Amino acid sequence: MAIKYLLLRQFRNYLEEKIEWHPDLNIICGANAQGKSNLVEALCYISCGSSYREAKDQEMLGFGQDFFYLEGLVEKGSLKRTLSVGFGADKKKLWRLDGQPQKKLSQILGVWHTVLFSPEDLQLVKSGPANRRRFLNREMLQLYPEYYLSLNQYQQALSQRNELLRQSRNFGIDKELLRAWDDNLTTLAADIFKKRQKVIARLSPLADQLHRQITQSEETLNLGYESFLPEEKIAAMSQAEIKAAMLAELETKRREEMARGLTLVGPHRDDLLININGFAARQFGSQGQQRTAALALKLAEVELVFEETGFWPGLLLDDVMSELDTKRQKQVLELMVGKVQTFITHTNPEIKLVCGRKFLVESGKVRPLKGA
Amino acid sequence: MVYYYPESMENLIQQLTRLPGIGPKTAQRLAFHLLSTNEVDAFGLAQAIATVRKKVKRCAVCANLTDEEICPVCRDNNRDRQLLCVVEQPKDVLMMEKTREYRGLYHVLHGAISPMEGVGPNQLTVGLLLERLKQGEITEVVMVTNPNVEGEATALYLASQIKPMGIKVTRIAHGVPVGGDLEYADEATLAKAYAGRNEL
Ligand SMILES: Nc1ncnc2c1ncn2[C@@H]1O[C@H](COP(=O)(O)OP(=O)(O)O)[C@@H](O)[C@H]1O
Ligand SMILES: [Mg+2]
Ligand SMILES: [Zn+2]
Repeated sequence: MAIKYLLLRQFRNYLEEKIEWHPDLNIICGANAQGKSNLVEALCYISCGSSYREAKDQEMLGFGQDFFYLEGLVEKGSLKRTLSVGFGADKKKLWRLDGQPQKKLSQILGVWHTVLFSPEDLQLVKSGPANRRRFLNREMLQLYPEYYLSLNQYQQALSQRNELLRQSRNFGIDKELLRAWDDNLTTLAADIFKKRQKVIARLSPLADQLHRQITQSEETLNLGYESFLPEEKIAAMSQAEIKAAMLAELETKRREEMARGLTLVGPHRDDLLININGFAARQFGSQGQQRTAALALKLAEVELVFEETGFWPGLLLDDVMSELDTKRQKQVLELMVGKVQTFITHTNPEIKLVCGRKFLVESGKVRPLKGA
Repeated sequence: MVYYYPESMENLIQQLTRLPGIGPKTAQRLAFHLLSTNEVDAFGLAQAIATVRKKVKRCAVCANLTDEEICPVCRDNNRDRQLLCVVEQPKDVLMMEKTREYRGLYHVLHGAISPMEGVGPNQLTVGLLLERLKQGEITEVVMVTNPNVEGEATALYLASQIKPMGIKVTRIAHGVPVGGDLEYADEATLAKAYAGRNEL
């Protein structure tokens, strides 16, 4: 699967630009603040409908403009699909697939999968659990659009329940009302626990294998799910059993929850465990090990998309290459280029090009550079 | 001096802006339209608003909107008076009626439980509902609250209150798009959902 071209109109600092991409490797060079990340953001946006920098649609409007428009041609084997999105200052957004308006984002997700890798992702292992949950969620949303519904509803139910707990500090608890929210929340939670556990179980062997290739060692990398129940139990239990277990756990935490006005059990408190040779990489890994593990995890995401969809996703590396030593850089290229259409940003236009195409970005203008 | 619209005009625009879905620009357009359209239409609208506010109230039995003390549905003896459908809004009653599948009575909550908006059972017509059920005529209650977390919590809460009375409580589940509003469910899916309701 590859994107043939991307057209940007009034998106960030791009006025009107159409870029023809190489099917294997694209290196986007340019000095700072010229628009390299903006270009990656546009690729990411047309793929998954949101900015990886968590920017609002409004912020991506070119300064002083009243709409932006992105269009891409995606090739899946012999199938060609045109994907486009327009966003107006009136906050109206229109997606089209092959010219036909699409109402639901879920019809867009998966037309062209991408996996994005930014410097923050290199911190994935050593940063806080919130980042790892975000990683999990983002990845799962792209692969399983229906996860969006579960997650959205869970978050809504969680906010409502927290608000009820806060109010009960002042007005006393309505036990039956709280029970209704418990019932609601745990049903949604059980679904998320199950889905996450399944994905982590699939990601783990992929990450392990890539990690061995990258480190060329026998170090094992293993992923786990940390929740209020042991992972094996989540795997073995039915959703109804998990729900019952969570209800019981909430019961034991009731007093503390009321005191703090917070829900203390659930997917919003869980973590993705990353172990090297059986030890938590977050606490015991060296910085080098942590970064390598993060790299393996990201590349495993690429493999998982292939396993799930039968197509290789695009790989977007924003400012990541310069963060890796030359050995790791070479390994990434060797592992990915040829099977995965890769996009790399780099500040040095002199960077060597083995294959593919090189572009120079200057103030929102893109032009191809001569190779090598 | 800078020119402003006459005060009465400004006032009308302000009032219109407060309506849901109407921004300042639309409000202005509507105000000008009301000024330029013929008098019969404009006064007709004003009259209709005044009348509806004066006449329409909540039915003393089911809390649905009516301009009588007790609404025609509650008085209709051809309906199945053992079956009660609980909905959030009056518009949901219309949705259910359109299915032509349902022939029981209704109860309108006028909202859903939402702690974030300060809405609990006391802000809804829950008390009226429980009183009504105590009279013992009704044997099954069907929850047709919206398929979102607030609607779900409302249904679960009501079930916990009603089941101890020995009344069967069901919830429509299938066919209605999850996370959506009842409004978006077409009549056919709603009819199917009603046929396949689950016990709560
Ligand atoms: N909405 C916008 N409209 C126009 N220009 C923007 C907008 N947002 C950011 N920019 C400009 O884009 C540039 C930053 O681009 P970016 O892609 O982040 O740089 P880099 O090449 O370093 O990755 C800055 O010059 C900034 O002023
Ligand atoms: Mg950048
Ligand atoms: Zn009535």
